[in-house]
Amino acid sequence: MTRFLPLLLFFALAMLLAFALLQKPQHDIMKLEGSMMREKLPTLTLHARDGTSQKLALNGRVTVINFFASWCTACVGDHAELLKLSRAYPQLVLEGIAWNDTTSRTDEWLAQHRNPYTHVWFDTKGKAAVALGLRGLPESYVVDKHGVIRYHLPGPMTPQLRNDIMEPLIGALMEEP
Amino acid sequence: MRHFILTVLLLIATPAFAVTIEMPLNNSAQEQRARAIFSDLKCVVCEGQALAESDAPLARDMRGQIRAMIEAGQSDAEILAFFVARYGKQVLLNPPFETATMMLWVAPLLLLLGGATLLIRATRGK
Repeated sequence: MTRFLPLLLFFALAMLLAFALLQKPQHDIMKLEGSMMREKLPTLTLHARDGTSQKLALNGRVTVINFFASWCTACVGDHAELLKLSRAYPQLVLEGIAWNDTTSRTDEWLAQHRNPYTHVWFDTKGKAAVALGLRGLPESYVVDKHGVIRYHLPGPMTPQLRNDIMEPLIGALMEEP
Repeated sequence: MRHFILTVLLLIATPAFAVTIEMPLNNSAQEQRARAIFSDLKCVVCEGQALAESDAPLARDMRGQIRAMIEAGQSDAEILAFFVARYGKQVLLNPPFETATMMLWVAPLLLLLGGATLLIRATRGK
């Protein structure tokens, strides 16, 4: 009987993993969990195009902070979805942060792919990236009217993510007092 | 003889750590602290590399942040907490020994004991 033990253990492990993988992710838009979520946005010191250092001001508006770069291939698709998002919500503030890139290449890329951003910043030393726990590009943070991070999207925004999460979330946050 | 020398050289060759080509802090005691912290953290965009060893741009940014925090007078504990808050406990190379991470330390030991037991049983059966 004990010779079946390894096989049984394997089977049990396979069942456990299958169960875990097949869990349907549940989104209660207002109760999303993840790193940096529900935290107040830290003070971000960013560089403007002229090189001057400025602190990002939110001014009580729903904001999406989006890290991107001209060399980032996944950013192209993400950017297209961001454009659609900005058209759906013209009141939405979009702060674009170019990470590890030059002003000229960023400007070229934005000219080619269109610029939906309210402001474009340059995170020259990566301080903002590290302050927000950035793991790669593209990466976006949705911030509510009170400066609290309500969603952290590590990776490109897909049409599905935009439809299922981003648009409903931003709509709900705009309604919030 | 040449082969012997070459073999010895290959065996003692060490990886070129990224830290050596960055601007170190002026205060050498502070730079020592920085390097110690670099060895305590993982590079979050690499496969199992310590922050000390990685050339990735984000790793450079993280090291820059650590040096800035040391110069600003923050303690090692504060610096590690800063990174754990942003990247999770998995950013630490040595996960802390507490109930939530107990299994990380104990599981390999359990697997070793389990495997050894099965092995002994199998060889005795013969």
